[in-house]
Amino acid sequence: MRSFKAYFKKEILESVRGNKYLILFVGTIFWALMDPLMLKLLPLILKNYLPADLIVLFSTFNRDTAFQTFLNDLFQIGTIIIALTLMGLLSNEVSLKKLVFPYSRGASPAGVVLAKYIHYTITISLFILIAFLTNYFYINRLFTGGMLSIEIALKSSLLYILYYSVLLSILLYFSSLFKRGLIAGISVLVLGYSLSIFNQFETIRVYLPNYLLFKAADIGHIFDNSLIPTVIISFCIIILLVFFSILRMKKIDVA
Amino acid sequence: MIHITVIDINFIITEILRLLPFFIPIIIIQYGLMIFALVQLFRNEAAYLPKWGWALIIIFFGIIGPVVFLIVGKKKEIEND
Repeated sequence: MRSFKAYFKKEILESVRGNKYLILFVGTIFWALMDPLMLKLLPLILKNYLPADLIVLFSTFNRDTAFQTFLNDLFQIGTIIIALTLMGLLSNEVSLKKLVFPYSRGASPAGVVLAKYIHYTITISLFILIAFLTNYFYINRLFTGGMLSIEIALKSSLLYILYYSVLLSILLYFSSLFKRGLIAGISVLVLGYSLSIFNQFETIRVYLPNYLLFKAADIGHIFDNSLIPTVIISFCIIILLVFFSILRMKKIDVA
Repeated sequence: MIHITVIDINFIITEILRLLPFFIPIIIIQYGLMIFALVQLFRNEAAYLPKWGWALIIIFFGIIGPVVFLIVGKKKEIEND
């Protein structure tokens, strides 16, 4: 427990010093503000440059489609920013020999790994929640039509929070495997994006965490029974990968 | 042939002015982050690129430039801690 508290505080200080809060905040919030405005302005700006049938397509945007566009952009850009910002979670500790002194003073690897995971899960969850609420406010002001409500936006944000918790556990595990953070970051990106392909296959997709993103965009049917296996599997992945990361950090040579 | 009439331009300008309050947070984030990144660049050592190279990236690459600098460009400072 002492290691956990000490490392939790250390993570807060290091995140402030390394501007990680700022990067994660911008990486999630910026698109929540930008997307609805761009969707509103693009048809006006491009009106004279695009064929009429394409302009008609733009004009069919309502609150639901604007929200889905934000979800798509958050996944595509937010994932890159989160993976590249936090890619050195454990690998930096090992490669820069930051663990020699704490381990020699009896710091527990479980405390170190849990502190890092819980700290960044809370941080990302908070930013995602703020981003969804901001986006909901902007969409409500700029668009009409559709069935989007604050309840739907919050339900959708919960699924995104769970998805990014899974992604963070994968990042944590890969970061404990590789000495270079960049390899961990890129591996997570490749895995995250490639798993989205399986959303086209109905039989497999419910067993993969990316189905959370698919359901988050399914406005009107976000929470249904098909999510049960996905949620159970997501929690299992988190528990297993955090456990494996702890095991790996126990065995790793920090000197 | 593309024709942009005065009415079109007036309509676009009116629409942009109507949406201006919504742009304020974006402008604050964008320029705030740019200034912050430039201050960090001149106070600290830069990694991988010379400082002027990072300065160009921060200034001309929109929101992405400062974010890339803060993730990659400040690495040396963190490593030296």
